[in-house]
Amino acid sequence: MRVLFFFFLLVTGTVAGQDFALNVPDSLRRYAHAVVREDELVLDVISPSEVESRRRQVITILNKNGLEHALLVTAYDKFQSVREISATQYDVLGLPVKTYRKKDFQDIAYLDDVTMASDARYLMLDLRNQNPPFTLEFVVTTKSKGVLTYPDFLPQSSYGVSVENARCEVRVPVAQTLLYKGARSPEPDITRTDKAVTYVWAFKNLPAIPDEPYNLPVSRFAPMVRLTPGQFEMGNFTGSFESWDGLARWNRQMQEALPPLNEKAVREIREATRDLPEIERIRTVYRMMQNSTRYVSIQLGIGGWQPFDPNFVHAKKYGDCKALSWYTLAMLEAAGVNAFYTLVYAGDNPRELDPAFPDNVFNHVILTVPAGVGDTLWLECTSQICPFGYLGTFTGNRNALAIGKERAGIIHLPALPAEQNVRTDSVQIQLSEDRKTAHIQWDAGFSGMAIEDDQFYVAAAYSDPQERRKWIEGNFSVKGGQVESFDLLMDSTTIGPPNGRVTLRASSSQLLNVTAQRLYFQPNFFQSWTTALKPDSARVSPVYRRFGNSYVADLQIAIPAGWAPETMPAPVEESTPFGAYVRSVSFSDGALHYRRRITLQAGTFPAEQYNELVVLFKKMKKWDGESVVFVRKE
Amino acid sequence: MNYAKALWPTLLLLWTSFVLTAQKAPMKFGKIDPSELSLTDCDFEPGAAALVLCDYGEGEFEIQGDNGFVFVLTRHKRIKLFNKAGLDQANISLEFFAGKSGDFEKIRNIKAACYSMENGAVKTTELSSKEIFTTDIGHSEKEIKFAIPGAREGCVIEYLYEMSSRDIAGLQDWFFQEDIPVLHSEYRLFVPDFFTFQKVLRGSLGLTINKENSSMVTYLGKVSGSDNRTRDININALTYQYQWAMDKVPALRREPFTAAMRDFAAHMETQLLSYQFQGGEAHEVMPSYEKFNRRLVESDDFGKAAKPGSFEKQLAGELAGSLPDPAQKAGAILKHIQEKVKWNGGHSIYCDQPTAKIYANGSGDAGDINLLLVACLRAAGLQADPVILGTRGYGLPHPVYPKSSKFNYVLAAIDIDGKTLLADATSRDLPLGFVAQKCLHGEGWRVSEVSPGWIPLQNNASGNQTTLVQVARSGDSWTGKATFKSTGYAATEVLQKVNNDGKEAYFKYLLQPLTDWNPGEPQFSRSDGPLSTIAEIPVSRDAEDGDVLYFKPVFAGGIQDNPLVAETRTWPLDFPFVTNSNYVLTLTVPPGFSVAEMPTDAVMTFGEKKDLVFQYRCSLEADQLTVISKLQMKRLFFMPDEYAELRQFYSLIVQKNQEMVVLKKT
Repeated sequence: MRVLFFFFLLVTGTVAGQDFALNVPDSLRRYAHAVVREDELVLDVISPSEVESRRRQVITILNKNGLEHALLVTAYDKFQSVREISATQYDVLGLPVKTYRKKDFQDIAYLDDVTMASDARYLMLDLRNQNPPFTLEFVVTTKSKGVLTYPDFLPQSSYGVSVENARCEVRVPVAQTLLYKGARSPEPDITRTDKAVTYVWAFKNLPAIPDEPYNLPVSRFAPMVRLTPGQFEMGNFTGSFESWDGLARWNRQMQEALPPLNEKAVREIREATRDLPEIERIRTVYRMMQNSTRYVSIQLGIGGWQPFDPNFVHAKKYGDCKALSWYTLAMLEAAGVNAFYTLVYAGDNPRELDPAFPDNVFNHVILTVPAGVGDTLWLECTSQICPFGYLGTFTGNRNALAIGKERAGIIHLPALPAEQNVRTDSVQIQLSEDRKTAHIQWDAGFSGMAIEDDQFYVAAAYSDPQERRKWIEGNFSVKGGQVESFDLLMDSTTIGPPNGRVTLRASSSQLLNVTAQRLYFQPNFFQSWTTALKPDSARVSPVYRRFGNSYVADLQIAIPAGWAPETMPAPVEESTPFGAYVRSVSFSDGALHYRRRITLQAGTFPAEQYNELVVLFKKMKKWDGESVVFVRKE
Repeated sequence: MNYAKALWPTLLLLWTSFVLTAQKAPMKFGKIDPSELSLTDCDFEPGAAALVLCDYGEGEFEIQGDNGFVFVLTRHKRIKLFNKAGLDQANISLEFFAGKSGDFEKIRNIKAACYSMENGAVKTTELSSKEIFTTDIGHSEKEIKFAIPGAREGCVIEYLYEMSSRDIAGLQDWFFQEDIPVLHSEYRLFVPDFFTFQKVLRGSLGLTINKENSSMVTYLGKVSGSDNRTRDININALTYQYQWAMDKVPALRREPFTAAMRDFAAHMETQLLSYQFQGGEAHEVMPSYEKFNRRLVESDDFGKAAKPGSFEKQLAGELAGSLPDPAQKAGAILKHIQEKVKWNGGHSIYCDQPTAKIYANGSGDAGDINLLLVACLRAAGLQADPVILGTRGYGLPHPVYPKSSKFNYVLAAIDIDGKTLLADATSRDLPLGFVAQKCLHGEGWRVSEVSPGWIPLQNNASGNQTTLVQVARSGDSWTGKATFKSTGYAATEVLQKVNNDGKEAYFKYLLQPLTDWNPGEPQFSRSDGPLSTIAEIPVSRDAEDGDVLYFKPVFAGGIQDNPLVAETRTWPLDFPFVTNSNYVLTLTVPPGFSVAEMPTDAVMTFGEKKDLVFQYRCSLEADQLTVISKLQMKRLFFMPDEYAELRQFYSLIVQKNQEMVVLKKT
């Protein structure tokens, strides 16, 4: 009987209209470690503040690399609650193995070292210890009371996942508007009744996108439907996504509901900044904020969106990015400086801001301060040690929304160019009388975004000598060497990009390798290029580097008498669209001179050029690793 | 287990209080000395970001309604924040076990404040109760968090709370040492004489105060009898007062190659040994490992869970009934459970559900899975017992005084042919005889009615790696093959990497030193009996032009960087298993070339007993050049005073591995 039943399955391939057997076509297996068999999102907009959603996803995990998709998570908070949640596991034949209900999900609070409290929690089911291949069906129904925006529909949100069938249905009452923008998507099917309008998008057979080094985000390749409400209401504040102003107005409503900074504080700030030119007033306020506050996150209710009362921040001396930015803005106002509360998506993988489609693609707040004619400053208000006006990798080179009292606008946050982000290492070596010990003087310079190299600017702010030493030992190691003295210093320059330096004295008896007949020495032992990439002739994504940087290395060493050069690396000059490499080695008057400069540009490059980058890195690694060889003179 | 509850089954106690013959506490909340505010640096650890000025705890017993005896810890901590890096100290987190009842442990009476100098006057900012947040963090645990307001450079913060706990069998340890320096840490413990506690000082620092006093104390309570009338109780009991303190305690800093930093921190551990109420019988709780053993053997969630029932008998019959050999039986049962029941990441020694249910659910923690394993092995007629231990990150149990909370993992021990083999069913990559690497930690206690006792966990734990490289020149390129073979625990590490990160990641890791070379398609295979993994990768690269070629023979492996980065060391080094690394290169000297210079042989040893041996050999026979670089590590523990020499030993190995072969055109 059992055999017949299975045979029936294999022949017809379906049981009760569902087929999760492992019969995925080859086109969907390429680059894929998981296949979404079905993905359906149904959004039922009831009012500007109420939305119900149901999402059903069926995903077949093909191999171990796809197991991350067996971690089923759904978030909820004070505004969004989970009505129903369930998951079913199916085996390779598509037969159900086990069903999990709400009680089987773990309920976890989102807390970390800097978060004291948060409404945000999540329900989680971790099935990553199951053996692939298997299929999971995950159904979640949520209800929101308080809506800011609608979720974008991204049937493919990860690399390595292909999609068989996906569908998005949004139902909106006639009195409201749905704003949408599809990318690589068909136009929706729209049906109207006298009560509501329903939009449906459907997708079929989307091949997987491979994860490649220096690639663009998945959302640049995969179909995506952006959805935003024409009218929304969140926590007694209303707004609209019809324009960026609509989102800005919502933020302003919340800000205008806050009390002003108290008179005593305002007087203190005016005193501290009296008679100073504008740039100095801004600098003074920023320094005051950095010296008197710290980052603590409390996200409860509308507090997840509305900044704290600036008087709270002034008294308690802490806040999150919203509170600290708003507080700094209030302080600047007291000092007679105008600033804009600016929304941005911070971090390495920002969501893209499409100026033509207003959407809440933000997770962080900074301040934009027009200072002088044509000059603009940006202030990061959550760090006590961030240099004045520095954006860095956290928020550089991306779009942001600056919100003023009357206007709001999209701005582009800049990043310093490759030529200004320079890491320099300068080494001078003297050998001891008996030539057994090398005395090393090592000076390193960190300029522009290079201050983030090895977290230099953070280490330079530590006072604990053991922590500083640990940092030096970890980042400035000399083979077989002892560090004798060192110093880390951030320069307190007030003009131009930030910079700092490390000075180090060390000694080593293993820097030169001396055999019976030869002396080997790798001149670039201290800043050697190590990144290597695998060639890929079928690359899908353009090559994308958000930031550019430069590396300079130079060395001088006196070679003892009695040795003649046998091999000296030839000079090299290589220039490619990605960047340039220049190196020279010379030996004169008994001294070896080495100099090498690498510049790598930011930018977007065609996918076909990727292998050129692979070759460039390979050559850079080889050239940096080259040694000079001396032979004993007769 | 709540002993107090067992002691007072018919009494309903309403309240109690007793008077402490208290010596003045070292500090009073709200009274800050101006010198604390004007302090600019820690004199015994200059440059520290923060300093604990005083950490003071008082531990005493109270009677709390029908919960019976509870232990109450009042904790008051005052910290100086020197600079911005110390501001994190003002974010306080208190975790406690609320239990299913919600009040197994409770925290109350929280106070906190910050003091700073502003314009010549002391400014006080107090924590309001609205700023104290409690969150449910799962597994019946809760977390209270608050950020002390007003914290800034140069300020002094303090906080105070009371924590009551129904767990009086193992009181919370008092840590004198933490990750910032401590000026004064003091703990006073008041124990009525009906409880006998074992107190053990751990770590390597001495106490600056170590006093013991005793006095009569009155315990008051209201009791209701079976006739529902309340009566007052008034008990006088001799109460021992312990006072322990340490001064100028250096910060405990993490170092690599240790098992558990926690074991190094200076702390006081306490464990209830026995109790006897006036007029009652003496009850031993945990006076010795033998008694601890008995208790575990008899408990439902340990010993009884490991007893084979009808379910285990049937399963064992199916899996091992037809196998002749005990080792085969054990292997079949182990393999089946590894495949059928998934480890959920949980560490515990108990199994509080029926083992049949664990099997049916297909998921469990370490205690669930390995106690099920023991039950099945016993059902198959094998001599097997559970072994409890503290894992490498968790800490070592005390060798003489047992404390149940020091054990967080269980393994199975099986006696076969006069040898004891260990088994761990939490992962499919652990054949018979292998355990998770975190279990290679000192000794574990074999819980047994027949042969209880300590068994070493690291004996015979070894890992071998052999890298064989063959290269020859053909035309314009060097071609060859690199073979990476791992056995023993080195193989389990490879398998874990492959399972967690994928084969691609493992190959990427192997190819890291080979970037001058172009790899071909890698092959990977695993074999069991004995366990080994092999990865084979064909390699090639362009040959350089020139009459003189330099070839670094040790290029696809061998130690290239000194693993001991720090120049100084405070704590001992502790490795999980002995290792043997072999690197062998055979190079065919291309026609038209001869070897102009090649590295010399070398042998280096470390330690009187030659615990580490490094051998480097280079030989030429006809046109075959062979280079061997081998390192054997036979010892697992190294003291801090050996560190400098050990570090130097490794740097000499690194240097030797850089040597070149010089080929010249003839």
